[in-house]
Amino acid sequence: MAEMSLPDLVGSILGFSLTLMVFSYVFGDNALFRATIHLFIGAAAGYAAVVAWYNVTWPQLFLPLILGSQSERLYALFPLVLSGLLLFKISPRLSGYGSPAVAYLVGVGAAVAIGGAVLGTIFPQTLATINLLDLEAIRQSGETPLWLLIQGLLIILGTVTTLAYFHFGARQKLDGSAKRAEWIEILALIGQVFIAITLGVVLAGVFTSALTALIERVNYIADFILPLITGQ
Amino acid sequence: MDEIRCPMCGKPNPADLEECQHCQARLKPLMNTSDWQAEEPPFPESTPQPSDTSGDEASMDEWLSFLRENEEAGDDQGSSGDSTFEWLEDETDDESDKDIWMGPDESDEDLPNWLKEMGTDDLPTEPERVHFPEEEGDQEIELEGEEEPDWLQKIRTRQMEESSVQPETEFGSTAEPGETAGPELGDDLDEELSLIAEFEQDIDTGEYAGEAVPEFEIEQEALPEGMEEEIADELPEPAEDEFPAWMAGVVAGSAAAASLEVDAETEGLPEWLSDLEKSSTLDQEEIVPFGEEGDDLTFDWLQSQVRADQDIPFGDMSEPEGELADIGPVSPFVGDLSDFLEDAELSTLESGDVLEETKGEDLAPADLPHWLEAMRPIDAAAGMYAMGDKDAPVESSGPLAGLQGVLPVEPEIAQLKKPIAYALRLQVSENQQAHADLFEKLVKSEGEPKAIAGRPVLSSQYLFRLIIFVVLLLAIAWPIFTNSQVVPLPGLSPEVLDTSKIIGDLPDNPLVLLAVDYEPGLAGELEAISAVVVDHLMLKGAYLTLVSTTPNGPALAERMIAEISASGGHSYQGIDRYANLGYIPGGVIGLQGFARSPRQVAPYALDPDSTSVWTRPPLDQAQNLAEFDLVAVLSDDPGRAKAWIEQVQPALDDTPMVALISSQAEPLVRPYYHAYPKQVQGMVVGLAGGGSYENAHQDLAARSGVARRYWDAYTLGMLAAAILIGAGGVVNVIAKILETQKQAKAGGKS
Repeated sequence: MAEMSLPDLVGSILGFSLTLMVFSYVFGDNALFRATIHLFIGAAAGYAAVVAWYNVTWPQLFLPLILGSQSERLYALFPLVLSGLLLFKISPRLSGYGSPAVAYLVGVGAAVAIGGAVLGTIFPQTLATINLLDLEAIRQSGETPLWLLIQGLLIILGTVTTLAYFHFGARQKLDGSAKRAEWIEILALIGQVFIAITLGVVLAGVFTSALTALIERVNYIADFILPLITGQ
Repeated sequence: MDEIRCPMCGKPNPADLEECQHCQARLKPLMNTSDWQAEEPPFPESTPQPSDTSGDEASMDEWLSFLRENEEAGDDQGSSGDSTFEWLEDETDDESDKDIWMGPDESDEDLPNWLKEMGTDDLPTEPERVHFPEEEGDQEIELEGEEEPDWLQKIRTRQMEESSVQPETEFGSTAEPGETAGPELGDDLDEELSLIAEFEQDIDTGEYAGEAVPEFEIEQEALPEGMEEEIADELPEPAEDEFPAWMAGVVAGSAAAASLEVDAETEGLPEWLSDLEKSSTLDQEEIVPFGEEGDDLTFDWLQSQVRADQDIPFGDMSEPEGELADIGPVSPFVGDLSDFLEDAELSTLESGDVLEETKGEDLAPADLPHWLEAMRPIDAAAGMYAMGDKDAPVESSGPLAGLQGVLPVEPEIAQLKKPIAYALRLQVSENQQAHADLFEKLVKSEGEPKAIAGRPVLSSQYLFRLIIFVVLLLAIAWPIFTNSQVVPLPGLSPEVLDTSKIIGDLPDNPLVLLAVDYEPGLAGELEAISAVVVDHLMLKGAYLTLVSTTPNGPALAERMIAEISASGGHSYQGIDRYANLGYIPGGVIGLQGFARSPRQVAPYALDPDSTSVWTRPPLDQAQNLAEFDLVAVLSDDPGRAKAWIEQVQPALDDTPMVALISSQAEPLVRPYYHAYPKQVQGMVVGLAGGGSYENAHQDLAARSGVARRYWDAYTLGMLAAAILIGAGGVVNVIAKILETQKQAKAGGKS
């Protein structure tokens, strides 16, 4: 505590106060909590703007236009035009001029996301699930084949039943009602169990993350208070 | 009477004009034809049958001879006979005035004094009421009175019999179709008199026998011979007392106009008519101005009227002439007739008491002939008065002078009435009415302010929240404040082991790309994970290239490096030990671009000099991400972690990727680790992963030990949370059971 500089001391006091103000939410929504939230949002937005300027706009757009070579200038001209068109979105009357930039962003973004999802998730995960029963792979893994086989079967069962749960196709009966096939219903019921377990894990992960964040804050408070109490 | 005096301006006008040529006032009021004119029996009905005149003088009816005698007497005396009814003729000639005289009310009570007095002795007490059927000729004469003369009853009876037996022989049947003889003939008294005179003349001259035969006799000629006599024999001879009402008056007038030699006691003539005849003789001699007549004035009814108007007692007939002289000569026949009518009416209205007295004491109800009754001026006014409102205005001038309420002052406004209120109630059933009432109640309730239910200060949810917070806070704070580290760290998990092995297998001074993609809110968890891993990397002398896809990432990266460096005793400061490339904009697009060409996406370091790190060692050796020795992703968001795996991992080739992620991102990232081939070669998940990594590297835990410091609190906190969740579930189950039992009891009681 004695080694702490004045800025660190001020920062510690400010952090301690803001932490307590956030904790006041346990008594309901109040002005202290709202003030703290507004402060955080404002500080984050301001910091993001500064980062965007110093880290993106200035070095990657204006600096090449000013100091860059001819190719760098031409290369920087394209994002400059698109950025300028995006500014037309401010005015409802002129927002149409910003549509090309938005179309470029959406189109490229969707293409990149879909491509990444197909090549990075669907194909690898499908292949991984298939390979769970690959005896050669099991043998190469060095683990107990039976256990790996059971583990693979469970994973396949969970994957198939979960996908069956999200299968909503059904044939319409004579009375107008629609109901999935009986075997799909059974698989969906099993998949529902896996989904429930997965959601439970997600909830536990969220709770664990929140609990860890709370622990970190309590530890911060303890680190701030204990030296004041003990004088160490 | 070829002139009509205008009632408004008093100037004479031709008789055929309807409006005054001087003042445009209407000379003939728009009143309907008087009842007496309309009800006047047709002349032929009361005309004696032609057969009566076919015989000699002796076989003629006495009344006919009487008429002839009167006619002769009239001829002898010139116009004296006419002068007897001069006032009557004058008035009847004037149609405008005549209309006024005609009134619907024939009641005895409304008779003026002069009429009452006139008929006190001679007329029946009750006025006769004559009813004539409207067109078909079957006239029915009904006399209502206490003393209906016998002759009149006989006439009526015989007429009824004749009309029922031989309607075609009636005189009226000879009229042209559609021609109503009665009203036309009776409109004008002159015409009646002239017809009578012609009739008598025809009888005298024998034209009835053949030559100048009237229409009705032409039909008789068509009869076979002998039939005339038979019919004449069969028909009853008219008696002298069987005069019709109108004829009786005419006869009486004619007799009076003659020398009045007829005996007053002749049967069929009422006494009053006899008196009238007698009194008429005075008129022949001398016309005494009104008011100057003597006590023996025959027109005592007129005198009585004047006296009544002047409030002169009736009994005092021997008043000095001076009093009458004060009244002045008053003649109802001189000057404007309306004045006379007005006076008469006003006197009637104002002296109602006198009228009542005279009616009850001295005067008996007069039985007037219908024609005379119809001519009563007061009758009309009295009738109107009786029918109208007493508050109605009295006309002061014009032909309607003296009449009350005949012209509405405000015909439109005065008759304004409150409009009829029609019921607006719909015909609805009870069910519909109930629904309407319910709807109305709902609508009304919407407009009524409702008191906001006050929130309880301590609600159950609020209490539960406080309890949970206190329990968790105590479970967390107690180990921290006591610096408890009794709970053992978790064992080494496969993913942590893989991560530790990968890092351990790195060459010295490796190029490590460290993605800091988490938010400040979860910095505590991520810093607990990364502390030991990054410390391990620092021990390996790795050149850390920091990059982030969140704006706050560069700052958190700087903070992390500074804290770990300080806690681990490293000197990671400056561009020589690490490069913070800062923020990569564009999300997945930025990551895709960064994976393909990191030098173009993030060319400068986020330092005060904006150093171009790709042109200086050690990054100058790396043209792409595959040339990095390790890619470590620190993320609290499964989406960002997945983006790194999807967009960057395919570009890494053999470069391993480890995920240092939050617990909440584990469920979505773990499949990439368990994939075959693995997309993520190692994982450190949450505080447990950090504790496990520390547990695997005790030397590292001794220097940083963040996970170790948090682990006891984490364990107690998780235990407390599990207890709270379990306790809450049990409470809910118990509450549900109790509620079910309560409902079951309530259902059993009901």
